[in-house]
Amino acid sequence: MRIEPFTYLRPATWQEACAALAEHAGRTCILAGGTDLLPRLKQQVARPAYVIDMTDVAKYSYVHSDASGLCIGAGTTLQTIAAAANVQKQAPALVEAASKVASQQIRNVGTVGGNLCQETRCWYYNQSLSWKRAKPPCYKAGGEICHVVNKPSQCYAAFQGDTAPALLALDAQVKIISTHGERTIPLELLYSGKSESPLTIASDEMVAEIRIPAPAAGSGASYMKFSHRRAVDFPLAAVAVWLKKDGGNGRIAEARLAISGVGSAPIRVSKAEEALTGQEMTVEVIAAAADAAVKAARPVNNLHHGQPALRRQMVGILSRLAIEEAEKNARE
Amino acid sequence: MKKFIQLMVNGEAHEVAASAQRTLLEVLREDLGLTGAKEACGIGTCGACTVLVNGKAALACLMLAHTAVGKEITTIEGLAKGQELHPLQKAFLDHGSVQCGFCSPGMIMSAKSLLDEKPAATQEEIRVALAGNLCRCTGYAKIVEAVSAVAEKTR
Repeated sequence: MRIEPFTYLRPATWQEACAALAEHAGRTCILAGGTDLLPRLKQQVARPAYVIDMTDVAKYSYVHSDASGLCIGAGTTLQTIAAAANVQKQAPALVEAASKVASQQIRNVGTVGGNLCQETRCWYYNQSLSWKRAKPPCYKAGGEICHVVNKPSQCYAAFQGDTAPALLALDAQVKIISTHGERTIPLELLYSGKSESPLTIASDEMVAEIRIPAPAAGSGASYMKFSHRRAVDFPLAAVAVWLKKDGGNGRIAEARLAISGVGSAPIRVSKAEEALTGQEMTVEVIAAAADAAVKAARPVNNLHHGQPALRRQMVGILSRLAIEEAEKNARE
Repeated sequence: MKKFIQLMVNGEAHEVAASAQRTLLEVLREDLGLTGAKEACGIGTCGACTVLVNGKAALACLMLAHTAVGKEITTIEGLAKGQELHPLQKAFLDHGSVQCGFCSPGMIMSAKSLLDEKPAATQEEIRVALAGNLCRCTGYAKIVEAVSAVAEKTR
């Protein structure tokens, strides 16, 4: 598979990177680890005029912790996060998610910022050019129709990130920078929910940092992933849960539940969170929350070996397991 | 447009003219003649192109040659010292871990990356480190055996 020519830029500082991104906005791809971008360049589903390589940008990779929580540079590799003692202590669910991504080679290079900003995927869209010539272009590729669902004007490609649901459950915020300055938003607002353009940030902005609040007393989190192989694969369904127990009566004081791999974006499931909040941990309460998560899942038949019925069912099973695991972690 | 870049491969500096869109794997194989790293899937799922970048296993098919500038690249060709094979290479021969041989360079580089960091890695750690390397002869048991044997010697 051949990559189309582009101009390669390798800025040394954030200022240079932002300036280059602003100058060539809309025609540029950011290369951090490149493990998501390179396959898309090869399949020519990304055809940028410019590629900004973040390799040399100082202060792009770091993990800081203080009383308020963790600050992780967007360019920190998944391996660094999985091995960092302060992340292991403060956010073990993120360690679990980061160490489940693809393979060791990819984790050594792939970054958390890239993992959050990865493109949505679909078995029709993510193919070589010659394969795709057999049909007119799909909606995401600039055509009229989605070949998977056979409906016009909407794309159903799935977001399959591992770290996003864990970070949603941990209530993470992301710092976004551009030549105009910086702003910090809840991670949830990074995702548009549209498969054809999954991120809400402007074409001259980039994610610079992820912030995770310090774990509250009596809280615990977990991440569960379903894929056919234990390595290499993207999640066909994934669930992350965070919950905080009330020290007095042992009920769940607060809960967050996020799902990924079963729709256009990773999402928090507020109905599942409501089903847990203020309740005791009983089989019925857990089942009600898991049912709400299943109802929020929107899988379509667009992933390899990812039958929608199976993935929907797995959301329920993973939710039950993840709630139990998070509760166990909260007790410890 | 081609640009001259300097790559540090197996401890030697190489100057090559490479356009921006070429991958490290293409430059290693086509310009430097280092054909140990293989291209199979080309999209990062098989591990046949595994090399070490700054000592850590990475996929040469998913890295631009220009990105590799300023980094230390080690390929399978850089392991043997003259006629003497690296302990991992010897172990692969001794344990019959090579069938068609297409995955072997990637397997050995992934194993080296692990053992450099954890010389006495457990079998579980070895399995995790090699999970991104596919062997279509399915000789996995022998491969894990060979890497375990090297790890055990240091225990």
